[in-house]
Amino acid sequence: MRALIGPKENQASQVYYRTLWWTDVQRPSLKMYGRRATDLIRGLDRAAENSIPPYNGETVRAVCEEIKDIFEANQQDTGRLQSQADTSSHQNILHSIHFRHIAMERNKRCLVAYHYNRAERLRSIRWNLGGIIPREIRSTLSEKEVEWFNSYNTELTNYMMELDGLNLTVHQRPPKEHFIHVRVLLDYGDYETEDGETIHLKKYTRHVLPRTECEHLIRQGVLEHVHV
Amino acid sequence: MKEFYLATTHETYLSLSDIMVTDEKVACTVTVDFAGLGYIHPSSSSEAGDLTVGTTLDLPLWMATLMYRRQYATIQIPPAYQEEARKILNVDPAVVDLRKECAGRFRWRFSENYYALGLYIIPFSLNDAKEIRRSLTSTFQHRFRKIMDWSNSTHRDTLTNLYNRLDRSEVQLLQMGKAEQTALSDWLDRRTKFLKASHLVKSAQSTRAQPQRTDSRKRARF
Repeated sequence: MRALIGPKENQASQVYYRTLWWTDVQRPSLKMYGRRATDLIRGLDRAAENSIPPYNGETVRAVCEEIKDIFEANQQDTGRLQSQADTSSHQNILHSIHFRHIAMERNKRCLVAYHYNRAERLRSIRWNLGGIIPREIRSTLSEKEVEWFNSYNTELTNYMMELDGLNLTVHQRPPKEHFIHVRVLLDYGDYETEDGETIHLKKYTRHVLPRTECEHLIRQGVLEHVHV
Repeated sequence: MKEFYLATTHETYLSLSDIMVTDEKVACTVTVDFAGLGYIHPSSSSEAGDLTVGTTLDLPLWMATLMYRRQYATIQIPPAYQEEARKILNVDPAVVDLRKECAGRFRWRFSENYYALGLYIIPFSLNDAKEIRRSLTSTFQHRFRKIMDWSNSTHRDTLTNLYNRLDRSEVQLLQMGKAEQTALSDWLDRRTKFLKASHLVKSAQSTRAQPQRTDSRKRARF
């Protein structure tokens, strides 16, 4: 049990203990539950707002392992509880079970919060950048998250089809004019507009386009809205 | 629409900042025996591997709160909320560095979650609850004036050394203030009608640019 819970600590958590923990100076550090789970949350919390850091599958698995260990330890103790006649040691075992149970709840909370917050950020990608995940972001997602994104995408598209094909993701700010001047920032290639015309978007060229057409491209960083 | 969650958000199950606050360590003294939990505290002397009565150890707040509620442990108020620290804050709250370590009888520090942690600590402090509450409020009031000043006068700047001195919720306040200030000046210059690239793209581009830089540095060193 001790070998399972007191794992080889990774370097990041050791640095954290040295710098952030004032009491560390006086007392030896604890082999406490829930450390991995907090590492998980800290990684997401420290990342820039709304950016998605790489999915930390290894730590997620480690936290799940810890939960499993705690559960097994509690099962064992429950077994011991029934064989124990002495009331005081009976109580002591109960205390330990409570202790571990709290740790298990905490681990669960961290896991849920981690995945929920990542999904929230992913959702904002759909609204900002459209239905295709940029390659840089896709590489940071887990398989399940890509799956979730795709199903969210189809749900949203279906809903918008029900509204007679109204695109809810454009015009997030009230438009001032119908056509806008844009400059192309990278070689994008051919782009087909809604009325069937094809325009060639070449780097450093300027175009006057309908606002609804290019709002997504501007958000994706392909075009830049310029002042005339 | 953009939503802001201040780092002082209390007891929200899915809030990242609340999870970070509840991970702060507090010193506890155990008042009951825990069978077989001795490995939690390496220096506990019990032969059977139990965590025995009277052991003092640092527990994270999420554990300490529930231990306290079940009366399994008593909690010591962290030094950052004791009288000594309150005196420091009383003198001039605006200059105190909430993240720096303070020298004293022993080393201690204010917390980067000073207000949020304080709110959690108040129920445990039977004698000082009133004092702590008053100190938190007045500290915030004094510091808020400064933050308001900074957010008005230094927009479009990065103030890293300023951020390092502030509590997390204060940093958020400052960022909100600066964002609003920028938005106001954009509106005055009629720049709001321009569409901008998403911040997601910007951050993705910056992470893509970084590895190349480190590579070239490595090459230069060898």
